[in-house]
Amino acid sequence: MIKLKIVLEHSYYPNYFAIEDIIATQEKAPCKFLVNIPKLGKLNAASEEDDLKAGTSLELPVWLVQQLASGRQPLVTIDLPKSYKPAYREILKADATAVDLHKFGLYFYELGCHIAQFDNQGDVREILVHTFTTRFKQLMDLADNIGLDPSAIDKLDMLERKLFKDGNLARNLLNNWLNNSIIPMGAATMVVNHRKRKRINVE
Amino acid sequence: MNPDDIEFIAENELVQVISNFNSPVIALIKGNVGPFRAGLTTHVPLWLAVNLRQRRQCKIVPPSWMNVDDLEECKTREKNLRIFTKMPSDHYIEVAKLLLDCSSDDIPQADEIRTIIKDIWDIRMAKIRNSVNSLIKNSSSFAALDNLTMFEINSMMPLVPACLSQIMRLKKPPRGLNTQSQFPSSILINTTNTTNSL
Amino acid sequence: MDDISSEDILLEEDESEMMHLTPAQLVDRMQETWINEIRAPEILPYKYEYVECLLEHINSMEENIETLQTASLVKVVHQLEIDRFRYIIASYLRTRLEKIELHVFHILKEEDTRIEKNELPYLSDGELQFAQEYKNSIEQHFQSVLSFWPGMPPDDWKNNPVVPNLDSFVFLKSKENVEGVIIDDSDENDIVDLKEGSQVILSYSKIADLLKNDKVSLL
Repeated sequence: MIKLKIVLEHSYYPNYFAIEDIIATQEKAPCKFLVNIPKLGKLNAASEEDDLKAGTSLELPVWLVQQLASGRQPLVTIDLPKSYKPAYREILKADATAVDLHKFGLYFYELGCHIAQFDNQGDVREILVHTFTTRFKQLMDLADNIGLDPSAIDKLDMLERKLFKDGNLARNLLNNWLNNSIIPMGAATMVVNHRKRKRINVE
Repeated sequence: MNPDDIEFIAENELVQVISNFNSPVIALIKGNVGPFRAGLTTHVPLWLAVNLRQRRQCKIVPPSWMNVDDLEECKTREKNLRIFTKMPSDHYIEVAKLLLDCSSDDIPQADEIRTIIKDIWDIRMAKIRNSVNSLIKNSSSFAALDNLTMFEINSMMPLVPACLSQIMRLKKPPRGLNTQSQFPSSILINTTNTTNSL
Repeated sequence: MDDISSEDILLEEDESEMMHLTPAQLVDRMQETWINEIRAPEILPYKYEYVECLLEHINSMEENIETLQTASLVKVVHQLEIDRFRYIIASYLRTRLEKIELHVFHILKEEDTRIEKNELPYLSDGELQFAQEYKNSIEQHFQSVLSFWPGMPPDDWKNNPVVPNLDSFVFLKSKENVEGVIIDDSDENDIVDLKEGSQVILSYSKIADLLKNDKVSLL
């Protein structure tokens, strides 16, 4: 039987080597150049000039944008990727449980954490927390094997999937423990118990 | 921790056995057990009771709470109250499972007891799920869990603490990594006049 | 059985406490220490005195029962008890090793700071040696792996060590009445009093000191 390792017991936390973090920041965000950049015109497929002109709008990976947008003299301003824009936030506010978050963004929360740093009105953080807490019940039900509809797993983002996987593994260990008995005690035996109880009542 | 680890801890609980052999006191590291006199009761840790029972060297005296009447009462109370009631044993589910598995012959109405305990467990698990749901919904950073047993608390792991930790992380930037100071507010878009906001 | 071992292997600072720990209390403390270590996100101070003292008990017990007949009930029972304690100690030490592997750079740095400040170390001598060797071999490995690409800033990965998430949530039980635990950093008035025996879920960072001072235990 697979033992829950300590690494699993402590929930995901980003670090330098975390592949989740690397993949999440691979997503692109729209940004606008504030200054002319010599010889980087190639980045802009729409233009044939050698230099990248101030005012050019491009989509660049978030890990790169973070570097360009930070420091004393930022080279670009960053705009929110579309999943975090007001229109999409409205969809999530209306009913986050109905959303296929996997399609919204593989790493919706991870990328959101990075993006939130460029949104100091806090709308992004707010929608991240709202989405996560609203969808929790569904996640817990899936992890606990209640109302099992496996297709719902496909609609989880990668963070939710990790939580689901760890939670489901632990729940299965627990159910195994309960069932691993001469006369099982676990959930699977509800029918048996039910019949037994009826018989007792009749007697 | 696995359920097996919690079971391991529950095996420290003391139970009474009636041995069918004679032996002087055995001086274990944790303390003495025995003396064992055939036909007389003595207290031993659960792990020892289970082992002796499996070798057919004793009968188990069910703990005082392990009877249909007391457990039915316990179940009714659990059903009627919204809070978690105090269980007759801090390890009721593990003790019940171990004893019912190895010595159901020694326990009167063992099947009924198994059913009631399963019912109590189900009622409490449903309560836990409700509490957890509202805990997460409010993204609280604190909750009291009085009267929950270690096994029940363990049933919430790792999902509940993990989700609360994630919510805290979503609420604020992680320490050290990409802290806000790295990205001065003046470069933020999506806000009209950000220069003075921090 | 005699407690011959207790006095010989004490650390001075714990002498007063260990003097009146019965073997039963020692066993309970060891179990609590084990659970705390499993549940805490960071490595906790190594409980040298509990591990050594319990191992002494186990060793002298094993000597005592050596002469008994293999199949004798008494021997089997003693052996069962010994196996249980060995499981706890092994799991405790293994948990610590897993943490050391996971957070080796962070742990060694903290350990250096503690030594500088003349505080007690968290690692045992063996663990410290393991941590240093583990760190060396990681550094060697990275050096050889990264050398193929000269443009790579050599210490970038070293400056970003993997750290435990001290904000992780943990379940705990209060061992005595504790007043005024802050539960939310953003609001210093958001505090809670813990009654002896009460069980709560909280962020580890809020109770790390209480845990190390033996006011609470993890569940």
